[in-house]
Amino acid sequence: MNTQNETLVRNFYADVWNQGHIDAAGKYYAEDYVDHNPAVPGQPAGLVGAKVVFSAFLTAFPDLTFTVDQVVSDGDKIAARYTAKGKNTGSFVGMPPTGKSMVVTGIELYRIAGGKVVERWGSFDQFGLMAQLGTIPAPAAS
Amino acid sequence: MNANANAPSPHVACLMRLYGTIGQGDIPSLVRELSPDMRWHIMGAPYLPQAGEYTPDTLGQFFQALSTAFVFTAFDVQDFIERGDDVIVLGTSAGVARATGNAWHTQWINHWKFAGAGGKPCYFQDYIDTANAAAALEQLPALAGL
Repeated sequence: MNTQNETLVRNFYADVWNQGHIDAAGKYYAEDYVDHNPAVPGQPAGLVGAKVVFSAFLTAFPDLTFTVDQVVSDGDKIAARYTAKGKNTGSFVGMPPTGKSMVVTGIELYRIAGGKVVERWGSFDQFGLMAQLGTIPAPAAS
Repeated sequence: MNANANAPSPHVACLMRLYGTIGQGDIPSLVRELSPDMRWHIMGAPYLPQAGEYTPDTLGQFFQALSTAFVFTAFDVQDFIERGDDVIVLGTSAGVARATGNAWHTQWINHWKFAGAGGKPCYFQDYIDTANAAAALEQLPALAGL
């Protein structure tokens, strides 16, 4: 267990996602961090790209709240399982707001060095998100 | 110097064995290694054919649905992150959707829980890029670029 890394990650979710302090992202992410799973189309590299992601989601879901359900840390790696909730009242990757609420679960895995995130992997149910927003059709009957 | 310093823990050694078993398609051997109350969760319902919750008794249905929908051309386990009875596994897979011929590549993250020291796996959650998988199946044409 690495309590410093756990504290870093928990503070990141609270500060950047839940408080919307995008400009504070540099406290948690290294300038040249590598995102192995970019979350938005055309995401720039590094910290600049991370801020693009935070801005895209917080614009679309201004009340977005992340609950960290569990962290699993091992050496310089730490995984965080989360539940994210929010109401889509802003434009999201070019789509107009739907006014609908969503709840999705996901996981992010970070490598920490020098007290900051230097690599990130992540996955969440994007399809589930789109289904809840009503931006994809119901599945065809089999 | 401890000669076993780099040896995998019992939990990780078990999972390395299980991923090998999965790669060989030996589902009966996989099931024998799982706790009887195992719950196996796959996201993407109701759109992805393999999505749902499975038990050891129904796990064969998951692999059947998966192999009906996709041909796998690569499956790589990259890293294990372990604390106590929780193990997070990072990997990638690639393949082709049988119905469309579309190629598919994704990072995946698996969360396993063990039923205590010496216990068997009792929980599995697969986190994948569901939009990518759905696009390969052409379930999601409008979001293929997301």
